[in-house]
Amino acid sequence: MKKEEELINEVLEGQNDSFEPLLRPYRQGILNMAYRMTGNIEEAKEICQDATIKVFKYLGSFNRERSFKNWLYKTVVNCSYDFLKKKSRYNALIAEQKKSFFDDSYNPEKNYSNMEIKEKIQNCLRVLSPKEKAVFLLRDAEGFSINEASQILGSSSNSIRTHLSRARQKLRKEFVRYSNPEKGGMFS
Amino acid sequence: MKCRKVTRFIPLFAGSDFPAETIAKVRHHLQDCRSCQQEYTEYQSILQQTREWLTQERKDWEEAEWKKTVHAAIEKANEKRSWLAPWPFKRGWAFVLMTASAILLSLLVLHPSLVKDKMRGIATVSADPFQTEIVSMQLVSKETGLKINWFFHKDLKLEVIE
Repeated sequence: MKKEEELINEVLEGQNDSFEPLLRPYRQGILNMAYRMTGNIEEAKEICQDATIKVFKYLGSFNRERSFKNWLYKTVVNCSYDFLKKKSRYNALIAEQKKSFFDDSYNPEKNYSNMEIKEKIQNCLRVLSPKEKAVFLLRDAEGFSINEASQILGSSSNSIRTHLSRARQKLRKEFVRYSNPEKGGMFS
Repeated sequence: MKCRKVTRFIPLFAGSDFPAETIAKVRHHLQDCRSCQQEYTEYQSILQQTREWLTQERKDWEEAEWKKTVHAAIEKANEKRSWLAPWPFKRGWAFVLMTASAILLSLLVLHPSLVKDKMRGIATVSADPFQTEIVSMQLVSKETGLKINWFFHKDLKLEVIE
């Protein structure tokens, strides 16, 4: 299997066939990132295509000293922001996502407790701001470190920590509200 | 360290995202404070469930769809790179149209007389009433009563000499 560096060189030399193997290891990750940012799989695929176009177009200007994976995710996150802005969805996002967020056709054989977790996480993602959502997903879904997330989103580590903390607080609220709305706590 | 401060740190501490230099202080407080410890346990449990769910519930591409997406992206990127598609136009003919308009505009600005002369010529011919309406003309002298008949061909240009 060829190394990432070799594949980048080949694409830059004009071998377009090397572009697909270059992206292949991250294809699931970028799709899920875009999917959880928008809540719609078709929109996520559209975002991935936009990001792929940009990556191919600007591969020549990519700084080789940095991580290609981080750069790719950065492009996907930026395309997701653009997509949300373009559709003027910042304000209408919550209302629209109540209908469209995470279609239920996926994995229908899951048990009830899994359904509960799904509901809580979905509700949480609905109320997060785009930045909080991006930080939360990069750290807790994709497993990036705080430093990597700060590189991807172009923010300081402290800013990333602040957004991550807020996102987790909202997630806990959602868990508490869902589990025991009268007592106000799932563990009480 | 007080509970109020520790509570702010717990969401990050539970996910191992806390700066190393402060970890000891928070850990020390958690050993002594039961309510903070309970909150910490809650966060840990929630994060564990969330991470597990996000890892399990992942969408994936169908092989054919993925390859199609990448190839379409390459094609679109190449299309945008073409010299026939300069900004802000998508097609080459639009570029040609833009260049022709620019040349015409610069001619108008740099040589306005050239255009004006041509326009004047056109106006003279079309506004000449003799060419279309008068075919013959009779002049009668008051003193001698002599009559002179002038005939004009339709296409003849009449130049008035003062």
